[in-house]
Amino acid sequence: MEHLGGRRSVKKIVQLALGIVTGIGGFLEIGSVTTAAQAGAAFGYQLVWAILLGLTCLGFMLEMSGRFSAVSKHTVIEGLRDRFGFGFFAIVLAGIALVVFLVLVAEIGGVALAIELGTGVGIPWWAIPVAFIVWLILWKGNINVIEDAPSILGLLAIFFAVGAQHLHPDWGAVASAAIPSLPENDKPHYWFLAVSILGASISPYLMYFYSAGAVEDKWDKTYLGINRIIAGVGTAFGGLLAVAVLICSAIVFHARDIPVEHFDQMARMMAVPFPEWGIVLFAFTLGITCLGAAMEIALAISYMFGQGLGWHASEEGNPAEEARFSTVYTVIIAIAAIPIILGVDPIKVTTISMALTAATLPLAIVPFLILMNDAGYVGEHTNGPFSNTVVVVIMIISFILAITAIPLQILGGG
Amino acid sequence: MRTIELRALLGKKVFDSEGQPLGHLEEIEAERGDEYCVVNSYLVEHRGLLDRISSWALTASMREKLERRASARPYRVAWNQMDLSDPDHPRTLVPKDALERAQ
Amino acid sequence: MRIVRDVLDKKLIDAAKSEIGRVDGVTLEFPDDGPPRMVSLEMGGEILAARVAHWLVRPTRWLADHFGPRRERVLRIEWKHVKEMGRDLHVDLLAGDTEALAWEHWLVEHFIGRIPGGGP
Repeated sequence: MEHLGGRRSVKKIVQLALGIVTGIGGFLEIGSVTTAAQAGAAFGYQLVWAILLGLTCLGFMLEMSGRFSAVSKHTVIEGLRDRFGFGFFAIVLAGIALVVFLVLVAEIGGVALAIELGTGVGIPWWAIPVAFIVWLILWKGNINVIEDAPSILGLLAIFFAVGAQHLHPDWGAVASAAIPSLPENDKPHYWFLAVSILGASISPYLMYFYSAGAVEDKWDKTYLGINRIIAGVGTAFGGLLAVAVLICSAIVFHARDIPVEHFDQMARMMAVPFPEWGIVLFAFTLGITCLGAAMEIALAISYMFGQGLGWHASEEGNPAEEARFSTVYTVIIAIAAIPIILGVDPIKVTTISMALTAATLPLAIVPFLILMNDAGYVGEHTNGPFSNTVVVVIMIISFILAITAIPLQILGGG
Repeated sequence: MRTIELRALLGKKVFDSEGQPLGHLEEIEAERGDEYCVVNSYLVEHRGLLDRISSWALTASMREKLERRASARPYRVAWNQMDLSDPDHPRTLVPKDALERAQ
Repeated sequence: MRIVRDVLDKKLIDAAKSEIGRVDGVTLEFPDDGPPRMVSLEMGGEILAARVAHWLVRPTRWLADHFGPRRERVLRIEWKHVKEMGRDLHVDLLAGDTEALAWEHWLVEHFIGRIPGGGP
């Protein structure tokens, strides 16, 4: 019995480590990198608070989805259909799937961007190869490979933190930017960036993917502590890396009053602390994190359909055993490549999809919070008033900012 | 013997024998059996939009803790009190004062 | 028990513990005398379409008639097959014995199976 207990402990420690690593990689992808870089270039350190707010909300939400799955042994999506019936579920599915699909387009574009940075060959040429690689890994791999490999490689993102350190930021100024402040000018752009950062951080697909992973790994109540650590530490690390990107951008661009319009400019910001290999590292890290995100999103959408409609939905089996599930991700990856092939700018898609994510957050969060307060699903592990309050407040902030800032941005033409 | 699919009934507006609106058919109470489940009663809820939203938001346990207004509790219509000859327009065979209220 | 709360939208698990699908609807029988009874569970895209909006039923029917496997529009599982009720409903059938997996097989034959690595 002790031997068994020992092996289980080792397994848990490994899962903890991998979970944290995944959390880091999960946070950083084209959305968080672009929004942080744009924020730093335009407003210096001022928008640090938005990143911190976003990561706080995400951390709470991930912990909740892990807790939900560990206790109820079902995924969040299954809980949604179960509790609210198909009519409501269909609305949530349609709304979130559409927005998340746009994010998928952005991530595929992000990988293509990264390759373009390294090779000079235009983005549209890479859309099909990238989409194919994303699809192939899902086709051949299992959920562990998909979660772990890009995340471990994505740890390279730590070089953002090292780079920020090399640039000797005024840490006092960074710390004081944790408190929201008003910009001196260009207010619509400021708030729009704040919305985009929130939308980049608080991505519902992360919640569904995390929950599906917890069920596939057969989590139970003994994992509640690990869940808290993974959600908290992974998100914190990831968020702090986004802050590091913001700092680099602030020092390299804002201090010199250089606006960041294009992606290769963003890459060059890493050439300042790392003259020899900064651009390459930037490109590689971005490519890997976007690749991981693209796989997660494609799976998350497939899970939404599969779990909601009662299919056998798992990444463990081979594609023929889950034909409907495999068909969904195959089709959406293929369609997601099309805008990139047609030359749509991945940065533009990123910006739009991040803002839309923030605007549709209530659709994902409100029903989820209801589930988290339902003892019928989580037993004695329902949310306390603190968790509820934190998530609701941040959600309301995001939503209000989104519905005000997006029209302003469109009008202002930022 | 007729068959009706549940979706044809759910959510339909129910009126009593005097034409008074009772609410919407939201739930069916039944006795579980081996071959089939016997329907005992229908729950008809008279709820405004806010009530509908809050009933999504309030779980059974939270509802117990809050005092419910008597008028907000659903009507329990016994199976033999319900006229489903026209499934699109369910009617009770008795006036609403004769109907029981559920918890 | 309550049908909407305890039966509708619940996952159906077969005798081999794998997923058949979800309860999309329920059939009620009204005998000439005596109380109505719930006799079977229903599954089908058309039923789901009807639950979202009535105008979706026609296009869903058209799609089902022109694409995909030939099968009954509505799958019915008689209540007598339900053995256990909980968060999910457990039945004593095997998924393969019903038409629940018709789309699975059709997709393997016409799409997934034609991609390398997608064969059973």
